[in-house]
Amino acid sequence: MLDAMSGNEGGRPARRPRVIGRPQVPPGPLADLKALTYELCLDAGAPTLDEIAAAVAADDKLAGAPGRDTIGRVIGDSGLPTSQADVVAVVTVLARAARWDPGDAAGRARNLWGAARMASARYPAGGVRVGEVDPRRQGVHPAISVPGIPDEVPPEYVPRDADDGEFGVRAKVAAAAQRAGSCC
Amino acid sequence: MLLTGGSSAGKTRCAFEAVTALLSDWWLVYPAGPGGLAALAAAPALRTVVWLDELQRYLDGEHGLTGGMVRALLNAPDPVVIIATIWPDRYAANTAVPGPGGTDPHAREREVLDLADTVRIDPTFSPAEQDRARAAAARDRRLAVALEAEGYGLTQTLAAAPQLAQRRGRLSPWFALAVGQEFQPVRPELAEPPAVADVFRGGAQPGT
Repeated sequence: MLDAMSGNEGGRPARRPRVIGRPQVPPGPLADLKALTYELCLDAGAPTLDEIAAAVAADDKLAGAPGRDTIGRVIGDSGLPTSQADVVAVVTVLARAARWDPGDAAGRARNLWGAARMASARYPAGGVRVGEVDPRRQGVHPAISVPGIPDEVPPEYVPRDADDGEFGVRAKVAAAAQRAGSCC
Repeated sequence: MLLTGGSSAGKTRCAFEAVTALLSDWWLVYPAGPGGLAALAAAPALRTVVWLDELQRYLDGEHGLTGGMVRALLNAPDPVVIIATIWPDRYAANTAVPGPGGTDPHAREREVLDLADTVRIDPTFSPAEQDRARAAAARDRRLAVALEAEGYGLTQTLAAAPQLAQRRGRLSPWFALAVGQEFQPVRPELAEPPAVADVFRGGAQPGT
């Protein structure tokens, strides 16, 4: 059991706050994630949010550092937590306190969060996976016809000088992808 | 991310190769027009490449693309990358700053274009690119044919640009101007310039 979860400072009898309510979630990976977190929370002795937050804050090796409000949402809210790292941090400290295998619990939480994320993703109308798109449909000109080569096969791409380098197309696309969504 | 370059310079293929190499598991959406883009901005989706080939089609008109729509997409909680292409003449026309006291008919378009990170795609191949093309031509006969052709660049020949131009009888200095390329007449009898309006109505083909 983590000391940070003792809740009995100064020798005074601690008044145990009420246990966080179990969120109601439709069946699926999110429900499984919430069930895992909730079960861990009970097995860990139903610590308070402050106790869990203190345990998280005491471990610099955790990727996530959620505060008490975020922890409350991770355990008791019916929505998908925004940060996978926060979920893993909460699950890890709870698993230690519950004497579960922290690595196993963290791995399960990570996988369930990923599955729940995919299940809740909003796919764009008319969207196609980039790896499956037809270049002709994206505006690439049809090539000249040469006997023996099917027209539907695009010519071999000749790498352009503009592709590479610090200010090249690929560096800029990669930077744009990295920036995207990280501004909020 | 905006790629500028003349018709058949290879900018669309260049962009396509970049996103397939780097973002192959993302979603790609190719909006039909500004309306589709506005809908996407109102409800952005998970990890999406917004493909705006021939950006001028989204800029033109009363309800064209705005800086606000671009920012809404880029600031969405889920990652969005916008890839666009445009011809140099359209880029220049839409980014021109009016003189003192003059009207500013392209303020909206300029705001959109100023948000972009721009890369210019040269219509002609550098010596290094030609070396790579020669190496690839050993594996792809179409590249060999394009390398052997005279009068046009490799990407233009590969995209059958000379045939397109000659079929329309508009191979002229005006056409070259419209597609942002140096004029190199293949058939001297086609060098008579048509009206500029004709060029912009049908003489140049969108794409690549």
